[in-house]
Amino acid sequence: MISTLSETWLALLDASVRCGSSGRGCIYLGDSDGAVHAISRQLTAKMVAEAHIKGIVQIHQCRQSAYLLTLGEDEPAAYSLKVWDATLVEQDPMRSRLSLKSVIKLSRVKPPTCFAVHENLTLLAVGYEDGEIQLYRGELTRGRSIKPKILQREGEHGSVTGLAFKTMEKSILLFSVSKHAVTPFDVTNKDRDVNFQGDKVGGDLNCSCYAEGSSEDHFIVGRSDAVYCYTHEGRGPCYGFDGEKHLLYYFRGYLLIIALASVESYHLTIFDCANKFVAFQSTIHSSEPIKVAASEWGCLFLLTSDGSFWQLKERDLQTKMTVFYKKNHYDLAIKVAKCNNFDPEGMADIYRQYGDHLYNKGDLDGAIRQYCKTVGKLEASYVVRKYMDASRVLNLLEYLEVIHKSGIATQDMTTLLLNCLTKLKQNEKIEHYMKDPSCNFLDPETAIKVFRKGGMYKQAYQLANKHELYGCALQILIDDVRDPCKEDLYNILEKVLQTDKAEEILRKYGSSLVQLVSQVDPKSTETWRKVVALLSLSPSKRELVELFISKKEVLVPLLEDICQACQYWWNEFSDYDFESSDGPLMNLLLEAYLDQWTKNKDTDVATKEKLLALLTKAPDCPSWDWARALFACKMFGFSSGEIIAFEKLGLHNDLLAIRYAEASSNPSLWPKFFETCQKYAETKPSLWKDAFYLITTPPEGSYAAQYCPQHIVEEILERLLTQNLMEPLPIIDRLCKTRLKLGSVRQFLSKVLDRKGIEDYEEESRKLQAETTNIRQHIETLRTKPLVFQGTRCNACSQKLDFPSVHFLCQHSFHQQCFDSFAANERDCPVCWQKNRDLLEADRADKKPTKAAFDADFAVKLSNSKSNSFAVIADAFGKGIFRDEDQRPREILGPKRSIEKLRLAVAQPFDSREGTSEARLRLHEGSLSYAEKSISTSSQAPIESLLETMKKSPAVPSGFEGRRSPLTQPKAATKLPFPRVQSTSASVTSRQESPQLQKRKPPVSIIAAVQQSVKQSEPKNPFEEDGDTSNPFLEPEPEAATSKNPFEEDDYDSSLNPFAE
Amino acid sequence: MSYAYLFKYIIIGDTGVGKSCLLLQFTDKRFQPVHDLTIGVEFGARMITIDGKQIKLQIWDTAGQEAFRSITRSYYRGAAGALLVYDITRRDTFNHLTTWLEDARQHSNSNMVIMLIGNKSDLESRREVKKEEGEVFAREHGLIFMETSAKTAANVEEAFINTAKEIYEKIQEGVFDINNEANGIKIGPQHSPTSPSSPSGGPGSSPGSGCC
Repeated sequence: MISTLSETWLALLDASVRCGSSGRGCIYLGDSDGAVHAISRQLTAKMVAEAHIKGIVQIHQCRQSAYLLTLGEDEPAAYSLKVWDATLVEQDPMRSRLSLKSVIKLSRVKPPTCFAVHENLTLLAVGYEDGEIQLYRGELTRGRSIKPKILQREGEHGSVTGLAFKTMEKSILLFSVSKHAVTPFDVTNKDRDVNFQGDKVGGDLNCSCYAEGSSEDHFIVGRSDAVYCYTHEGRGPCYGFDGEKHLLYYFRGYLLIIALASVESYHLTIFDCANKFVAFQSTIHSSEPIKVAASEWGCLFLLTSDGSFWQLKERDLQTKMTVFYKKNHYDLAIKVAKCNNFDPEGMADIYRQYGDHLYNKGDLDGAIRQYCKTVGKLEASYVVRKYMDASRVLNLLEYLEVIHKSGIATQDMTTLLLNCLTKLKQNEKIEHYMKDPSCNFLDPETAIKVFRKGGMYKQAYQLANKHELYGCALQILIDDVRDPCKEDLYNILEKVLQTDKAEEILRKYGSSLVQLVSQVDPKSTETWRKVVALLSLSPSKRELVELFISKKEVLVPLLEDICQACQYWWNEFSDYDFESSDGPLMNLLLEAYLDQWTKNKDTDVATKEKLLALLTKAPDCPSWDWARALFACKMFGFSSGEIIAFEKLGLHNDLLAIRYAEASSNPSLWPKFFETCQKYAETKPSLWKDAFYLITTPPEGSYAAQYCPQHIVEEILERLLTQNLMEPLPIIDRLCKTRLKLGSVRQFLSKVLDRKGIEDYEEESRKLQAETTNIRQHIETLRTKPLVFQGTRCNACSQKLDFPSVHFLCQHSFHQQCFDSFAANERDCPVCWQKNRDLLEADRADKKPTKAAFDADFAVKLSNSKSNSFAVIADAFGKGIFRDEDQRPREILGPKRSIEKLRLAVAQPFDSREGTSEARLRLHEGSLSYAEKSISTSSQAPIESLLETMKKSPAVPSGFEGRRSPLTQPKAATKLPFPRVQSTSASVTSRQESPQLQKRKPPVSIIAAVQQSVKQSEPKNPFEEDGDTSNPFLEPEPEAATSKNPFEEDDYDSSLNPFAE
Repeated sequence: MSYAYLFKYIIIGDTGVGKSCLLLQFTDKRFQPVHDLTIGVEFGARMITIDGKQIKLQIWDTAGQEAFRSITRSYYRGAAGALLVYDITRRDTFNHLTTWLEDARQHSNSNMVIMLIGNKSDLESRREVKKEEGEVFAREHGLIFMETSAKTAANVEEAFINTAKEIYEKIQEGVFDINNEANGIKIGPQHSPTSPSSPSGGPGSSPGSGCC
C-alpha cells in the first residue's frame, strides 16, 4: 500500500544526523554538532538553532503546542534540556529561528539516553545510560530550576532505552523500557509515584514507541523475536516479526518496523495495527544507519545519519482497495474500509465483491454471508437471482431471512421466503415465524396469500388470527377449509364483528358466510341472534341487509331493529331528519313478515299485528313504496294490508272492490262495504257508481257468493239517482243482467218511473215520429216528384211576383231584387233560414245529454268487455263518442282533445289502478298494448277505406286547389283532395304526446273523418259543421270553406241538402 | 466498567484448530470462516458475571505455529487459565496435546486452570477424534473437558465461563495468591483494600478500558 520509495539526498552540514521529530508541518533534525535543522515541505533543510554544542541526544516536537524540546550535551558531562518556541519557524522555516524559552539543566553527569515529555508540559522524564529515570514536575516553559525525582534507581535494568507518557482519564502513566525490563509507572500523583508489574524483558534504544490505537493506546516494544504491546494492565498482544530491531515508529495507524537484515541493509515492515496486516515490506540498503523516521505531509521519511533519506508515499484509499480486490483480500479490504469510515454503500460494494468472489469460487455458503451484509444497499434481486440459478434454497433462505429481519422485504421476497420454507418442508420454522414475536417481519397479508396458495390453510388461518385479519381468516374458512368446526367459525365471526371493518368483511363474505353457517350448523339461531345484536350497532347495517335476504332468521330481526330505531328517533326528536332511505328496508320487512305470516295465516296473530303496525307507521318514511307494499300484500293475500294500502293511496274503488269481495264471502261485512262507500263518496261521488258496478257485476265462480243485501242495493241506487250520477236507463240495463232480486230494485224502478210521466214521452215520441215521417215523405217528394211553384207574391215585399224571380223548394218565392237585398245567403231561403238555424241549434242541444250517456255507456262496456275491447271502441267511434262538440270553437285543438278523450276512455279501466303494484300494471300491460293496437287499427282502417272511396269518387275538381286561398292552404296537404287525412298517422303518433308536433299540424279532425267513413250512408255532410264562422278556415274567406267541401263540386244540387228546406 | 477480578487466559493449541475463532465468538459473538493466521498473540476481553461478581476476562489468543512458540511461552506465566484446544477433525492436533500440556505446565504457574477443548463439533461428519478420547485425556491429566463449535457457538460461552468459575473457586479456596499479578489474577480497585501495590489511583481504576 505504500508504493513509492524514493531516495533523496538532503544537503546538510558535515555533521551526522542523530535524531529527529515531526508532526506540525515541519521536520526537525538534531545533529551531532548540536544544531537543529528544519526541513520544509520543499525538502530544503535549514538550521534553525544551535542548541547544544556537543551534540543533540534527542529532539521532540510537541503535538499540541509549538514547542520543541531538545536534549543535548552542552559541555562535556553537562547535559541540559532546552525548550524552544517554534512558532515563527512553523510559519516560515526558511527565515526564522527557534527562540529559546527555558533551559533545564540536568543534575547528573551520566549521559542521558532519552526523555519523554507530557503534552501539558508539566511532566518530564529523563532516562540515563545507567538505568536511572528522573521525573521533573513543573512548568517546563518557565525554566525555573525544577527538582527531579528519581523513579528508578541506576543499574537495575540496564540503560533506559525508551520513555513514553500515557494519559488516561484519571491517571497518567509513564512507560519506561530498559535493556532488560519494561516498567510502567503511575505518575498521576506527585507524592506517590509507584511502579507496578512490568515485564522482565526489555528493548533497545529507538525500539519502542507509543501507539495511539483506535481502541486502545499501546506502548510498543520491539525485540528480536516479536513486537510486544503493553497496556496499563500489563502485556497485551504481540506481533511476531523476526529480526534484530533497529527502529520502531508509529504513524497514523501504522507501525514501522525497521529490523537489521544484515550489514548495511534493513528490513522495512509497515504493519497496520488496527487491521493486523502487513501493508508494506521492503529491504533497503544503506551504508549509514537509519536514524530518523518522520511522518509528514502524508509521507514517511527515513533519514540516515548522513542526510540521505527515503520518502514513502501512501497510496490513496481507492488504489489500496483495488490492490486488496486484486489479491482477493476482501476481508482486509473490509477491515480497512471500516477503519476509514466507509459509507454503507461503499461497504456494501465491498461485501458484494467479496460475495461475488466467493460465489465464483464456488463457496456459495460463504458468499451468501457476505451478501447478507449488503442487505439494504444492494438490489436484493441480484443475489436472489444468483441463488435461484444455483438452486441453493438454503442459502437463499438465509439471505431472505436477513432481508426480512432488516424490514425491507417486498411482497415478492416474502413470497419467495415462504415458498422456500414450504419447499424445504420446514414447517417448524414457519410455525416459529408465526409464533415468535421477534419474527414479525412477515407481512401477514402476503404470508397468508402464500400459505393459502401452498395449501397450508392452518398456518394461514393462524397467521390471520394472530394479526387480527379476521376478514382473511374468514375467507380462509370459507374458501379453503370449507368444513370448519363451529367454534372456529363463531369465534372468527365474533371477532370480525368486533373489528371496525366488520361491514366491509361482511359485505364481502356475507353471503358465503351465511351459506357456510347454515351448512355447518343448521340450528344456529343463537348465533344469528348474536350476529344481529352486533350488526345493530354497526352504522352501515342497512347495507348489510341484502346479504341476509335469504336468511330470514337474520333478516327479520335486523330489519326490525333498523325500523324500530327509526321509529324511536322519529318519536323522540321531531326535528330528526328521517332516515329517508329506509323505505325499501321497511318494504322488505313487510315482505318478510308476510312470508312469515303466510306459513300460518290463521293463527299467527302476532305477526299480523306486527304487519299492521308496520303498515301504519312505515309510510312516514318518504321512501316507503306503497306500490311495492301493495304488491306484496296482494301476493300473499293479506287483505288487511291491501285495505290500508288502498286507503292510503286513495284508491277507493279498489278498496271498495276488496270490501265487496270480503262481503260477498262473509255477509256480516256488508255494512262495512257500505260504510266505506259512504265514507269516501263524500269527496268522490263517483264511488257510488263504482259500488253500483260492483254489486251488479255477476260474481265469478262460487255460487255461494252472496248478492248484496237489499237495503244496500237500494241505498246505492238511491244515491245514483239523487246525485244524478247515472242515467236510469243504463242502470236498468245493467240491473237486467244481474241476478239481483227484483225486490231490491223495485223501489228504484218505481222512483224512476215516477220521476217522469212515461206517457208524455210516448206521446211526444209518437208526435215526433209522425213529424219525421212527414218530413221523410216531404223529402221523398222533393227528390222524386216535380214541384210546382205557385207562389204569386214575393215573400219579401208581398208584391206580385214578376220576373226575374227566385223560387225555393220551401215554396217561397222572391223577386230577384228582393232576394238579393234581403237574403243573407244566396242558398238559403231568407224566410226559412232563421227557422232552420233554430232547428239545427235545437238539434245540437238535444244531443248533449245523449253524449253523456254515451260516455258512461262506453266506459261500462269497455270495462266489461274483457276480450273484445276493440269492438267496443270501434263501436264507440261509430257513434261519434269521441267527437267533442264543445270544442268546436277551438277546432285547432279538436283532434287532440278527441284523442285525449279516446285515451282516457281506453286507459280508464287501468288508470283506476294506477299506483297499485307494478305486477298488476304489467298484468294489464298486455291488454293495454292490445288496446292501443286496436285504437290504431280502428282509426286507420276506416281512414284507409275513406281514402279509397275518395279516390273512387269521380269528380275531384281540378280547380280545387286553385280556388283555395294560399293563406289557408296547408302546406303539407296540397296534393291530396282530402288533405286532412294525410296527417292521420301523425296524429295517431302524436297521441303519444307531442304538443308541438300537434300544433304544426293542420287542424285535422280524424274523428270526423273516421266518423264520416263509418257513417257513409248518412247523407250528412261531415264538413257542414265546419261551416260555422268560428272555423279558422272560414274566417278569412268564407268561400274557401264551401270550396273545401268535396261534394260541392259534384253536380249535386244544393237543394238536396236536407237542411236547406 | 469496574470489575471484581480480572482473569487472564491464554488459548493454546495447534495452528488452525480454531483458537482465534473461539475468541472471536466469545468476545464478538460472531464467526469468521476465513481467519488470517495469528502472528504472535492476539488479545481480547469480555466481562462476565460469576456468583454475582463482575469478572473481566482478558484473553491472549496465541499463534499455534511452531515459529511463534517462544513468544507464546512468554505469555504462559501471567495466565490464570488456559484453553487447550484441539480440532476433532484432525487427529494430529489431538496427538500434540501432550506437548502443549508439558509446555504449559512448564512455563505457567502450577495452579493454572487448564480446560481441554475439542473444537469444530459442528463438523460431526468429519470427526476423527471421539469425544470419549477427549474425556479420557482430560481425566488423565486433570483437565476440564468440553467440545465446542466456534461456528455454531455451541459451548463457547460455557468453556470460558466454566474456566472462570474454576478459577473463582480456587480463589475462594485460597489456592491462588491473588496479590501476585504474575498468577494472572488481578483484583479490581474496590476489592483490594489490603493490596499494597494497587493504590486508589492505580491503573485498575481506569474505567475507559473495557475493551482491552
